This record gives sequence, structure tokens and C-alpha cells, in this order.
Amino acid sequence: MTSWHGHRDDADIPPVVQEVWAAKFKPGSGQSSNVDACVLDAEGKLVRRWDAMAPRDGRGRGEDLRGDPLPRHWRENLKEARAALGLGEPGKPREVSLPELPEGLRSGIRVFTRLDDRGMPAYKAPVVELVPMGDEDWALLARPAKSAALDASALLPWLSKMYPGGVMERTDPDTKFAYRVTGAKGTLSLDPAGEKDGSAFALLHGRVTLTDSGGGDFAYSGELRVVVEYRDRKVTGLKGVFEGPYPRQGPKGSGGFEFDLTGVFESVMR
Amino acid sequence: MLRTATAVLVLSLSAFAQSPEASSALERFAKLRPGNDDLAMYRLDWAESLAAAEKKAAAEKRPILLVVIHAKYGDMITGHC
Repeated sequence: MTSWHGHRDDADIPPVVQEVWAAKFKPGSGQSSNVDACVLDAEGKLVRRWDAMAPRDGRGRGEDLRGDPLPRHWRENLKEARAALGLGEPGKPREVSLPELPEGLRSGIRVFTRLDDRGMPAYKAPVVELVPMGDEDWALLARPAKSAALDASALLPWLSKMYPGGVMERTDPDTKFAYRVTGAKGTLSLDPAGEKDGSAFALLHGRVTLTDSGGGDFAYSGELRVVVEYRDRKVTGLKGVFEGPYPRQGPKGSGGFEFDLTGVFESVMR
Repeated sequence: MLRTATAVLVLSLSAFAQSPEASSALERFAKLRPGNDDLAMYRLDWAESLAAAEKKAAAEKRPILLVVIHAKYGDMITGHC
């Protein structure tokens, strides 16, 4: 499974994408979305192409008319592609495989983000990223003897992943890449939170305001609550959440909406 | 099953953390942490580029599912676009 994106006037369009777009943009081919799915054989030859969005009338071609039009549309096309490739029935689904630490690294923080955008339900699907952490990063969260203040900017490497899956309006007009979260402001508190069976705990909490490389007055804030676990004064685990509203705008700055942005953090230790 | 295991683990940790605020944070984590059903996209065998997918497909004699987006922006590998 992979993806490719670009424009028709690009210089380096792969041959298979040229073939897909030749069919897509052929005069008289009708309206379509800007996303296509296709199946290629092991030699890279195009076997089947379909518009990633369901047909407007929502009616499937096959006998199975149950379920939502979009999954049905995909099931039907995948079935046709499997038949064209001479494959049998699908096997058991693969296990979930989340981003893991690169070889040679010992620890990190896995970040799950989700935006409850009522108009674009696809953004409810979690985005998962893994931020490697070194000893100096964990030292910032060293076990506190008493309540200690911590500037949110020190945690920017993992707080910077707190932005939604789809942020078209926060995209650089020249490079077309999404702006990066470059600022984290706020004074957090790291408080002792008890001990049990050789483990000690601390709670990191407070309000964080995030800004991005797009500048202007764009900013959004949320509440951070993270529990850190220690053994022998060393961090052995971390779990927490970020919750706050994320401001979105419509095309060309029109409208104005706020949706719940949710982040979940968990340590990954080798 | 995994979601249940995660919840049990977190609840036991919340029992360990003595402060009510820390326990509350762990309970919120257990509620919000996506389960396997939410993470279906991560069941797929993603390749970072079309070139990488073609190389892998040829070596393993497997087909490729390719998503083509007519837009200058988009990064389905990280999920941000």
C-alpha cells in the first residue's frame, strides 16, 4: 500500500499515474474526486482503477447492497481487482502495526492525534507518530521532590505532533507542505503523585498554547495531563492526554469552526 | 482484546498513582487511547513511496494498492496533509 500526490503539470509524474490520469481526465469521463485508487500487479502494471469516493447515487453494482456506499464501493472494486489478479478470497487481516522505534534507539513517545471534525469524519481516524527520546529528553521529566515548574517549550519535540490529520488551510502556498508546529507556550507543573511497590509517579499538567510556522495570530490551546512513572529515579513509563479546541477555516479563510483536538501520549521503551 | 488488556493495565496503574488527579488522567488516557478497530489503517503494509512499493512488490511477487491524490499537498505516511 502506498500513495502518490501531485499535479497534472508536474514534470516527474510516474508512468502509472499518467495512465490513471489519462483515463480520469478523458473528455466525457464525468465528475470525479481528486483521489483515485488503483491496483497494480507485482510488475507495476495497472490492473484496476476507481475513484476513491463512492458514486453519487450510492448504489453498488454488485449484489451486496448492505452497508455504507463508500466501503461497498471499495469492496466491489477490490473484489474485481482480486479476480483480475487471479487471487482467492482475502486472508485474515494483518495485525495492527504502529510506528516503532528506528533501529538503535531505545525509547520514545508515541503520539495519537484525532480531530472530531463533523464535516470531515475521516479526520477522526487517528494519526500515529513516534518521537524518539534520549536521556536528555527524559531528564526534563526527572522525578520531582516537590512541585516543579516546567516550560512547555522544552517539550516541543512531542507536543509539536499535536495537530490534525487534515490541515489544508494551514499549508504553505509556495511549498504546499503543511505548516509545522514550531511553538509551545505555557508553564506546566510537575507534581509528585504517589508511590507504590517500588514505583513513584508524577503528574505533569497545565495549559499549552501551540503556534505554527505559518505565523500570524494563529494559535490553539489545550490542557495537558501526563502521568510519569519512575523506578530507581529513572523514567520507566509515561501516559497522558491533550484536549482542546482546534480552529478551522473554510476555503479562502471563510467561516470559522472549532473542533475537538485530542492527543494521547504513551512511552515506548526497549 | 488488546483494548481490554490496555484498559486493565492502565486501571492497575491508576490504582498505583496515589493522587486523584493522576488517577483521573490515567482514566482519561484509557478512554481516549485508540483501540485496534480505530487503527485499521495501521493493519496495512505501507511503503513510503511508489518506488519503494514497486521494489517490494517485485521482490515478494505481491500486488500494490496505490492511492493517487491530485493535489500538491498530502502525506499519507504520517497522516498529515
